Amino acid sequence: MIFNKRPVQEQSLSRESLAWLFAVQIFIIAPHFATVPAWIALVWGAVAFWRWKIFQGAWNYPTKLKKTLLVFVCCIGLALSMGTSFRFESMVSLLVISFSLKLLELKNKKDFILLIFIAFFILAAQFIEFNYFAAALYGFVCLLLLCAALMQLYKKPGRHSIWQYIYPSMVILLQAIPFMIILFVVIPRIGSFWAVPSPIHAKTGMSNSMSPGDFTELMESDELAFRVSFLNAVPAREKLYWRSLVFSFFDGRMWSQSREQKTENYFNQASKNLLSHVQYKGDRVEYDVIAEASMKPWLYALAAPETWPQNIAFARDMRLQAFGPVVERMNYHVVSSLDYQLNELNAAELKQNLQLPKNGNPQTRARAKEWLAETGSTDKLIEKLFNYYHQSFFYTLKPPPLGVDVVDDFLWNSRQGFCEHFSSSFVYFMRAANIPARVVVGYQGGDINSVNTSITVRQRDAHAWAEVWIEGRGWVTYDPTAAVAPERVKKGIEQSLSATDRELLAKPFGSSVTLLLRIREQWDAINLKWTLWVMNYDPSSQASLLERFLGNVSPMRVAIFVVVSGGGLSVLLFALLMLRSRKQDLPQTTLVYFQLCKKLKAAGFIPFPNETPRAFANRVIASKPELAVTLGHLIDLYERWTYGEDNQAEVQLRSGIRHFKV
Amino acid sequence: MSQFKQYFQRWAAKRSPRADRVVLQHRTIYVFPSKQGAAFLVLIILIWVLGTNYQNNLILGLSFFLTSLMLVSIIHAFKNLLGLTFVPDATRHAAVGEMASFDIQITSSYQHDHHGLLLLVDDFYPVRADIHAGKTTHVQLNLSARHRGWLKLPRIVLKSYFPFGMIRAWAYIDLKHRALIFPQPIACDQPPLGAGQGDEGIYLSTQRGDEFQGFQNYQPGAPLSQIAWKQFARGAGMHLKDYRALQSEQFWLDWQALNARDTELALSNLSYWVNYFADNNIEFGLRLPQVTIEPGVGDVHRLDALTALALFGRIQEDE
Repeated sequence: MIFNKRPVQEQSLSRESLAWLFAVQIFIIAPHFATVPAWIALVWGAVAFWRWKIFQGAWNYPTKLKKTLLVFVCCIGLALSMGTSFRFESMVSLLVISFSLKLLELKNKKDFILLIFIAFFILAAQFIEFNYFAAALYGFVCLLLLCAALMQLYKKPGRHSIWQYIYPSMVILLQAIPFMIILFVVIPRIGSFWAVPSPIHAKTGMSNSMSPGDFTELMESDELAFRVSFLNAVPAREKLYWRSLVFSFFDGRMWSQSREQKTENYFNQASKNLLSHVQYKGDRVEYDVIAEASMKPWLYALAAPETWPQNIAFARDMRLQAFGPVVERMNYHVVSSLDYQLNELNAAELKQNLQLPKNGNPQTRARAKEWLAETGSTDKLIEKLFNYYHQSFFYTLKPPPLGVDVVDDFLWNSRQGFCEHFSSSFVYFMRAANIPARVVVGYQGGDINSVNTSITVRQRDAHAWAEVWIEGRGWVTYDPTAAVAPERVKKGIEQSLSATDRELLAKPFGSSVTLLLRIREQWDAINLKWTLWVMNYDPSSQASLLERFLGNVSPMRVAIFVVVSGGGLSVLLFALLMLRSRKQDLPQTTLVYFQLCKKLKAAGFIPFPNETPRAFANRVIASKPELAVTLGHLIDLYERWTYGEDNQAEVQLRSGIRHFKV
Repeated sequence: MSQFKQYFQRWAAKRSPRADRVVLQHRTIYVFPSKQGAAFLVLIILIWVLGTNYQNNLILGLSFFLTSLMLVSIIHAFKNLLGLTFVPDATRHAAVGEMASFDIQITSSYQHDHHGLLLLVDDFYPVRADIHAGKTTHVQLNLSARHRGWLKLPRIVLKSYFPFGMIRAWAYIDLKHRALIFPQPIACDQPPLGAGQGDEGIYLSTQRGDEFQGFQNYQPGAPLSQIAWKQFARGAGMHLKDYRALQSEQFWLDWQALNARDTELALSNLSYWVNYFADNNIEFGLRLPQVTIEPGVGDVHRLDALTALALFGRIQEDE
């Protein structure tokens, strides 16, 4: 009979169910508006209004023609706003639109359940976009609402407060968490089945060239670039030069990578050659970098990297790069030697790092030769130039526009600017003095989190500095910006700016209030842990974790672990649930009386349902007269305690029952 | 499949025999994913594929969370039925073609509520019930009466999809509970009055009428209008005035008077006249081949007569 089909009752939906569905939809769709066009909100609103009118009986369900028309209009709208190519955004938009339009077909409980199931899927899709800890918390809230909406179908209809669904759903969800953790830890991870479109964002980030003004956009962005978690103490801020790109080519206005730097050889043979000439002198730091999706391949590392993972390439210009654009958050472990020396520079490189456009910036070229002759050595020349920067330059994010000869105009005329101007002019000056030099771009410093040994680097920490080749010392880092505004590298960009300039700079939320700052630090620390432990949990970390718990990892052992832990948890949960339920709130007097009954039961006497203790005792005494004295006394005590509230009697009764024998 | 079904049915029936009182224990509760649960499993797999394709641990985590949710709801589905006690209560008898109803008392012996219980008997729509901790709820099950005689309450299937509809928990409840089904009243032209009983004369009816017959001793609970107040005032104590109706004829509904070729039709006819006389407050007796019911009036008398008709030719069976 259990498999028999029963007449299905056409169950129409209650007002409550409909309200739940609307609430669920709002919560589920909301985060997707980061991806999908805003007009879809209007579609949802209109459809929800229509469905509400249907519920009130004012309007009808749409006819087939109207439905088709609606779908058609939405598809046209989608094509207009996103183009016809199949992208992640269009996939999500289609999902959200069908989720909204399905409301117009919502007639009975079956449709309701279908909609909730679609909602589960859309909830999953939102994690593609958002996967920080906050997203997980929000997801939990959504899950709670979905469960409550489902539960609402299986409880007695009627007006209930929403907590009557939310609270029990919450309890069940919390009970499910331990099981989820076991599954999460144990279930093997496998690779993608097929390539999937990823969300594409117009990300602010380091571009592959640098011309005056490029960095302004970066400085105005509060967007996260990457986080770093140090194994040990965080090095001093002025040592944190995160290298992303090295520019060796200058066209008179724009710095970029040389042709050589872009070749594959630069990562393979050439970089291998270089490694044999690197001398790691110490000051080693070990750290994990969690790079945000940048859609660019370059990564971030401190010079000079000693070890790095397999899936990352080392470029000859002393930096790390991914094999393809970083489309999703990426985690890598690096060991760097802050103190290092490079002993090799081949002829082509030497030439490249002396390259200057044929003409332009005559004043700088002349002055460079003049100063070199004056000072006589590279060191002295740099010192003189730095002194010049220090004495007569002004650090500002809002420099006046520069003329055709960018370097001349900056060095000898406007003398206002920020890192890109300083590094650019410095390298130009060096090259003009026939000293090999190059521009390095990346990030400097970052927000040091005092809660854990980690650093959060945002786009506004973008920086450009210079490297000069000095025979016998290799590439030496010089930061001309530091000569003008030492606070930039010592305390961070915010401290180095004037009040008006600071307005330009992106401000992370709450950076002005100490308490908020503390909370933000804590929150950042949680997010970092989350990323390292949860989001980056992959087959290798799985293997090492399981090995730590289970010793030798064999499928058999894992299976046994799952069965034993899962089964144990279920039994424990069930026992807890029943124990809590079993506890009946009987009065103490009754419980004590039950103890007496238990002893009498052993002798074959069981009280009738309506029998008072006194009547029961009399019945027992009738067939066992030898108990008359003891049992009669106990019943006296019981009555005195129960009805006379005689606490003395309680003590006597308890001990009396303990010693009572039939 | 059908063989498995049969095997399961026999096995389940052995576990829950017909009884006066059914308490749901772990042995008699079954749980299995419902259709919605199967769909939910497909959904979990879809989400898992999504998470694997995007190599996204949060999505994978969600699919594991939903799996765990299903696991935990097994426990809650089971708990939702555990400890329920079913006891038969009143029944409403019915004639063939009407609905007989069976009242059942459901008590929860645990300190938690039981939600969304569905009780199914045969192919009727399920009856919904929600039972609160430690409380007793009455549920009425209706069954169409098809045959005369005792209608045993068939095995009840108790189902619940609580909490999220993914798991179905069910149990079989076989209660010793029966209702009497009377023959369907079918009118015929003449009441089948018994022959040889048409003695002329005036009978004193057993029911009250307006012929004064004398005094009776007072009995507590007698209507005030019947008390002989005048006699009481004279100090004669409490007495009742006894009035009886006079009836010129005594009616005997008699099996013999019917053409008894069709037993069921004969019983139906008798049933019609029993109801007719009883409705019109006419005193009557009933004579069947094995049973004779002495003349009388009132609902109890009617019930006696109808019971005799219902059980005509049925072997007495014990419940």
